[in-house]
Amino acid sequence: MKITIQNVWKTKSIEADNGKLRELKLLSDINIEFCGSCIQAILGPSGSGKTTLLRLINKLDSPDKGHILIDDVPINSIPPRQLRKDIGMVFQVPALFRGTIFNNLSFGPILYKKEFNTEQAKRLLKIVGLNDIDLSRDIDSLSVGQQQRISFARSLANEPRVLLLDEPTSALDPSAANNLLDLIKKINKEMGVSIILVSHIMEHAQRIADFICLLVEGRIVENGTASSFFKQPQTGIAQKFIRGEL
Amino acid sequence: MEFISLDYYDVLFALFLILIPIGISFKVRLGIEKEILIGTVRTFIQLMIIGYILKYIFDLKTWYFILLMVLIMAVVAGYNAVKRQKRKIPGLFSIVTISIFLGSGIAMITLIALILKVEPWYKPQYLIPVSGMMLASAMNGAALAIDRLMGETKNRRWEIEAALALGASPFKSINPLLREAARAAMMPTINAMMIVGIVQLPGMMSGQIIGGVEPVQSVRYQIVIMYMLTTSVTISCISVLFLFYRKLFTKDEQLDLDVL
Repeated sequence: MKITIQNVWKTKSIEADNGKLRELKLLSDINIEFCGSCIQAILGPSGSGKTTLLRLINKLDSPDKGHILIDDVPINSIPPRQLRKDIGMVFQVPALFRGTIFNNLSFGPILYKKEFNTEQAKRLLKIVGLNDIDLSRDIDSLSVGQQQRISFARSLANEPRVLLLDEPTSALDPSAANNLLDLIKKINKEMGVSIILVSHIMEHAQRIADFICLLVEGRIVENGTASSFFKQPQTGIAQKFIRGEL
Repeated sequence: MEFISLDYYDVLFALFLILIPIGISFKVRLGIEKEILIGTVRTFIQLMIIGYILKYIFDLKTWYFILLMVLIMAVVAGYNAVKRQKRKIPGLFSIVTISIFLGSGIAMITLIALILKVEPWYKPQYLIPVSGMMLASAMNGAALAIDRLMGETKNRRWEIEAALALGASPFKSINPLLREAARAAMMPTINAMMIVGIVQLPGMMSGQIIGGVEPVQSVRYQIVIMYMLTTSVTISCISVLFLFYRKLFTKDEQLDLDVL
């Protein structure tokens, strides 16, 4: 699935100290094409517009200007529900629904009137590395790491072609984060799901990404293969980011 | 029927009693003396005005004036419910007013036409007080429902967006929160049914008893009113939530963060 972003701008109205509204630029003139069946990382410091870009692709927000094309079809002409079935999103927080693990995993298939049984649920749990967990367990009894894995499995239950991941490791300790990154790689390789991963941690992208796009203050400052990004960064800002000075 | 009438000297005497809460507020520095004073004056003025309006309407005995009065009461109830909301949401006033009118209307028609079988149906001494009670409860229910839905939506924004991101419709994504809001808004009315007659004697029933009506008869009235109030609040809450939740989403099925 090809995702093309053309001249996209996004601003947000925020209340200033004097109580008046002012426009904050979130994204400025973004142009990028995401390849199919690979892992693309969007890196950048906090507040650089990474999450906004993901939200635009999932149509949870709309750009002020510019175009987003999915397989060359303008996003505006694709019904949101159809788009979101093909392009899943995992948020920074697990955002699970109240109830059991099975309730969460079956949410998508029930929406699309697809059969979903406990065997399928267990298969998904195995993919995300939760082999021995009881499907009837309440989500409140799970650790944050387990919840984030359930959140992955819930998105995978829709059999998406693209998965948007918004800082999925932010609530995890380093070891759990690495496990999750390996899991992302596995999902990409074994299930053929394209991944767009947002992160502010360079090492995470270095571990799994094929392509990297560096976003700073709402602008793309560097975009290319992961190896060229880390070996020969073209811009001073990218070099600073790699040195951890940004 | 035995009834003790009140003159203005009796009202004046009661007014002296208000000096106690004002004094307490001043002494323990609650800082609400001004509010008590304004409330006292407003109670007097508002009720005196409504007393004379009612007297005028009762004398007129024309159905359209009485219906107009009920409509005005519904609009004021809608305005009050909306006024409590911090955010100005376009179209909220009409949503709330329609919901309040719908809930109280169904309860009122049932009560006036089918239970009491009032002849003629617009007889003001029945229609006006009954409308007042129904509209006030429906107003509180509708305002509470919107408050709760807004609060829950802010707190559980991620849950809604996660459901949308999985392909759920706006209704499906916010459905658990709508149920929560409806429950919270209906609970005070249901709780009132639990304690009525044990902890509290409702105003209408007490009023009838003071007016000389036999207690069992006034109790029957109160039972009917309680059931109608619950019906009115339920319909108003469900209707307001059903119409209002759409305001929280854009046409592209996105949670409208500007509204929150």
